[in-house]
Amino acid sequence: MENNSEKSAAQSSAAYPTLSQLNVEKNKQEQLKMFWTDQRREMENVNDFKNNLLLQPTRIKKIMKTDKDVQMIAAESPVLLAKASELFIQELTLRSWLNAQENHRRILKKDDVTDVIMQTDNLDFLVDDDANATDGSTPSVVPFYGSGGSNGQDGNNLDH
Amino acid sequence: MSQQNIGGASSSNDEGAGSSREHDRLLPIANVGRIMKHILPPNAKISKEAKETMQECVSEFIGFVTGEASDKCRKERRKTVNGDDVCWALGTLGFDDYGGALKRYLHRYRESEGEKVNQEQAGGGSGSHQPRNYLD
Repeated sequence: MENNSEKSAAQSSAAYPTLSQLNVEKNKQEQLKMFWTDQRREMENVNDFKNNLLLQPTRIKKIMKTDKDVQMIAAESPVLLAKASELFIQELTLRSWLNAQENHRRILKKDDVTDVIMQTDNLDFLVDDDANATDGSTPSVVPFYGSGGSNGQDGNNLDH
Repeated sequence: MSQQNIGGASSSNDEGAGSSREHDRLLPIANVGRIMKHILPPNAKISKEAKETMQECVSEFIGFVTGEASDKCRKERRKTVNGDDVCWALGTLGFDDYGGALKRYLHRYRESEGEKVNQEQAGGGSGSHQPRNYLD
């Protein structure tokens, strides 16, 4: 997968933007397809489900429980959602990375993530509906800078 | 000025509760960061803001899917959100790839759990096939 990434970067700086764009897009789709193929294969080979997870089901369950309408949760659900969340992070990261590459960067930035969110239909739920985007600026995505509680972080990443 | 939380499942972020509520609402940034690194080339770097954004996104994702699954249960007068509900919710919300792959994962998980239960039930347990509720 690493080789394909570098190939894509080279192609983005090709002389003919249109052709290059097509190649970049095709490469993107191929990478995403490969991602899913790899993930499915990996999941098929899991035997020890509990120890295989990179996210703890107990934490997932806590998040599920923040929804007051949720009553009981079967044991399998947080395990499943833990895996789903892993896939979600990986796919969104991969898409964002492809974005960073198009901009010839090797550092993944928040803008890459928000760009992908704006471009991807099924990620609409992450867009802040109340954003004041009438001036053409990027609508805020995901309440990272919430109005009250914070992550214990300083507000130095805010742009009011 | 940005707005507070939106999305399917509403989390009640009391301003007084502060960081402990946030701690419950987000997954550890170290874990999130690790998963992100995993999928990227070794020389890739990830900004802190990007990780934090991802943290928020995952929690929204979980809430979104859970809300949908829980709605389904309520409509069907069921109290327990199970794995099938989660898979269904993923499919309904536009995460078809996830739903399909995870159905298979769920099936294999149930099989492996089933084997464990068979071993545990040697002394004759409740015999109930219902997955027990998740206890810490």
